[in-house]
Amino acid sequence: MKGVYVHIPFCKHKCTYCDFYSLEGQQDHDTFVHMLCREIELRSAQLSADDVFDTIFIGGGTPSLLSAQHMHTILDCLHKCLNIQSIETTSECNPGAVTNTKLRDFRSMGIDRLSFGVQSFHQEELDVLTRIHSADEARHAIAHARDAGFDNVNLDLIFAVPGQTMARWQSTLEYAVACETDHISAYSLIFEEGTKLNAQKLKGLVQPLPEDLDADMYEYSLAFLAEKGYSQYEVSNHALPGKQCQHNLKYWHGTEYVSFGPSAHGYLHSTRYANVRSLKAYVSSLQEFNLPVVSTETLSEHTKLSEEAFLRLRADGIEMVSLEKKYGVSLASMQPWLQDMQSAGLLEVQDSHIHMTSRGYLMSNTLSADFIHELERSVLHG
Amino acid sequence: MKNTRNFCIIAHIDHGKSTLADRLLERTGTISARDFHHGQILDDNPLEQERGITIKLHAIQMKYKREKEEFTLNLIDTPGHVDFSYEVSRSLAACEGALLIVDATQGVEAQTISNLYLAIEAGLEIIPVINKIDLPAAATTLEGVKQQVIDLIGCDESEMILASAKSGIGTDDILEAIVERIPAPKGDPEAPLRALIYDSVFDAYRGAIVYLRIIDGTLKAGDKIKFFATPPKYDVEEVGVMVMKRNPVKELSAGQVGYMTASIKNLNDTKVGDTITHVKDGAPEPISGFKEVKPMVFSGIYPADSDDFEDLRTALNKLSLNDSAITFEPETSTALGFGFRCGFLGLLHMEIVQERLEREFEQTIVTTVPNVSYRLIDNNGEVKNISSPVDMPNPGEFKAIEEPYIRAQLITPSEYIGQIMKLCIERRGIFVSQTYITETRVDLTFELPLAEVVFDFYDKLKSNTRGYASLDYEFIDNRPSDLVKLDVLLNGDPVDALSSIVHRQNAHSWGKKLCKKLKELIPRQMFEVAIQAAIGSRIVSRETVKAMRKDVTSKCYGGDISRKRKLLEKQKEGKKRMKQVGRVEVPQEAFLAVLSLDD
Repeated sequence: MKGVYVHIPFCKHKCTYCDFYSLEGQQDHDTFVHMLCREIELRSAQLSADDVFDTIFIGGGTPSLLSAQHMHTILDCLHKCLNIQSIETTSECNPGAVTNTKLRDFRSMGIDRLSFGVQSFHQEELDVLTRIHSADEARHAIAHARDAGFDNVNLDLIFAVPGQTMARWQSTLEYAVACETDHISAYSLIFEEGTKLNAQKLKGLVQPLPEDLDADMYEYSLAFLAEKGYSQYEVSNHALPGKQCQHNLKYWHGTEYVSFGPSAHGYLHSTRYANVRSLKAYVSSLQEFNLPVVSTETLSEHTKLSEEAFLRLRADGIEMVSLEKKYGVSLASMQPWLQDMQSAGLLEVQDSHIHMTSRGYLMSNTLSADFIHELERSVLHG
Repeated sequence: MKNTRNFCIIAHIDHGKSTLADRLLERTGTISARDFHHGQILDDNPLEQERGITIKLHAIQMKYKREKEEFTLNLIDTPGHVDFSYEVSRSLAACEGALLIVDATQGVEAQTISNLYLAIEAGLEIIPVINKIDLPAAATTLEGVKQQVIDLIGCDESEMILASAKSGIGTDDILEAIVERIPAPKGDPEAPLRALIYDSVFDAYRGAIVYLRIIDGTLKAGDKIKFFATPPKYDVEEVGVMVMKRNPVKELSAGQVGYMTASIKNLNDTKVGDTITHVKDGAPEPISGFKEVKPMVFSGIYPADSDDFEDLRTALNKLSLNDSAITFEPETSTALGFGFRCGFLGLLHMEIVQERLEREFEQTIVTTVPNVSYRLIDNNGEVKNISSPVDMPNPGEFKAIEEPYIRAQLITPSEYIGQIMKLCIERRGIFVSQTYITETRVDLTFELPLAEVVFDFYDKLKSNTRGYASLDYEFIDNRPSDLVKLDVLLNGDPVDALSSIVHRQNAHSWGKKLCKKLKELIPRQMFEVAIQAAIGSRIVSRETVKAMRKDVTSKCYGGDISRKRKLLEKQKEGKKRMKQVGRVEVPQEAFLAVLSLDD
């Protein structure tokens, strides 16, 4: 089963750290929704009976900025054009851009999972991150969601925010758990190239936290959330039993997904594609009845193997035997390396299942790069 | 023959050698002004231009008309570095005179002196030229510089030519002096052939192009010739002279300078300094002064990516076609894989080879620390040559070891005597003598272990004397020395490519500095890295590179998996530039760390 991703490129205000594509202020939602539906229709013509979808993820941007009517139109179009047997429909929400009524409307049209961009429960950090919502609004988000009938809610949190202390991060985590959220995504702040925040860093206006504190915060989150019953299933993601995000797991297991909206990235029929990162270009392309795709890459079996390996390794681990079977390769010669990584405390191996330790997760870029390096060597040289 | 003049130019970097050469070419109509748009003509190798030195020798023929007489002037270029002093001596042997170019604002500088002495020794007529006299600064410095030149070569003031190569001042005087003062070559065109090889380069289509000076006899296409130093015999295909490009002529005879081709596939057959003669009725004796050039400095050269070993072999083979001084043979390192142990004339030569491999042959290479060749006497009394630290046994497993010593001649302004003494003593030098050449210029002689000279001695000498001191050296003998092998271990595994042979008294401080330097160069990794220096099983120093704490991109960029994959691929590529020693990744610079150890 495949996934569906829809990108809503609107925000009330663009946060300084964010490098996803979105436009601030008043925008023409009508035209966008109209063209989005056209994209869905055009794309559906390329699908076959085998393309069945069971998760939908509405991200952005700020999907909760859309009116209930617009959201309804989009979902309606998806269900009409695609073969969807939904087990999970998620919408991202900004705690400052949503009303109780809208939440209820969302719920009634089939959205059954919410992901709140809460980031922090401390006003100081929300100010650094230039979030539009207040700490209070963040605190009440879950309660509103529950009132509206949602039993599957995620909170996005950010740590290693300039000025943040360990104590404040701990209290943010405690508050999130106290809200009885079902799922927590805890991201270390990234200074992405091209963002305002990064420019401020380069000018010396904001100071990133020291690497050691950042690492300490990460290790604390892992230990704390595990203790509270949230099991880690990706570098930054933690869920109560049965509450893992089924859509995101598709990304991390190398499963295919179709994507719509400007800047959206899809993976369909072994081909990765990217839509144009401009609303204007997106609209004009679709006005000409052309798919707004700007790049495609068809993956070789070899690339698929590498991708699936590093994605699973960052997520809930690799089942070596099934990976070998799926790609018809032998990874036996990786054994000495795996053993070294185990003794170094970076990987754990149980039977044929390999997963990262918390130190491994902290080093996951290097570790993944090494892993693929060893894997490719193993495949090439046997 | 009486209208031929063979000469060279001796000058310090930037004193105007190439500009003057250009002026001479222009004035004699050998080349027109508009052909100069690519800069100076002589230094046609980009490396040479960058370093301001001439590595390979070139010759250019000019025709100079004076009244009704026409003269043939052969300008033979010379390299200016101690690594190539033998080659300089051979090209000087092809000349009867030399222009000594001195910058009117800088004065006589050290680099020129040893070459000047070689020229005087070879009996060349020296024409002193003070260049750049039109620079404003020259107004105050000119008189002093004149005096320096008079002190140095004992000439009369009237013999000096004042010139500005840039604006053409003095060019005619120089041409006149070349014709008037430099003797015409002597030699007997009827005598058996004796031609001196002063250079050879490799041409992909013609084979070796041998640059030569005919001392006696004549040489023409079709002649059967042989060399004195190497066995092969060849049929001459073409003889000619260089007038910007190769210009074939019917024959070359005594006193002339030119080239020869004979489909010579192997440059090693045409050794600089060797004599060419005819197979039939050849000369009984060669021209004196031939020396087999032996590599003095050795280092390992490895492909950065072990898969590129064959490419490196091809590159070295091609490079050696026009650099007969380099030697190389396959070598295996546990740290670096398959590579080559290469021999060089000196450190500069080594750097030139490295740069040519990287630029001309697009090889990414790892070079190990250079060393000299040692004589080892094992417990059975047998003698072995050791040109790699890897071959050095542990203490107690041999009877004695000897290292090469050189006699170093250092010429310096007298105010730097102290610094030079200090440097030489630190380098285990033995003071031999001190002679004042002029009131302010001193000739110091030391005996030094060559190993101490190959490690940045020349750079230190230059920086300690603001570039004024010059160094020339010759091998004297091998002497017993208390030498030990210093090994480096990373997380307990010895890294053969980091081993070095050092004097016991320096081993401790050397090991300490080396570990410290390696700590700076080896990046933090997923786990702690212990760096140790050891003599045999005894650890003499240790440093630790702490493990990296965090290297994670916490978000996966939504569905943009390609972005994430590209980031990882970039990271993987970065690893390719590292060498894997056990699980430790060592950057390539680390293998040359010893060269940049500071005191």
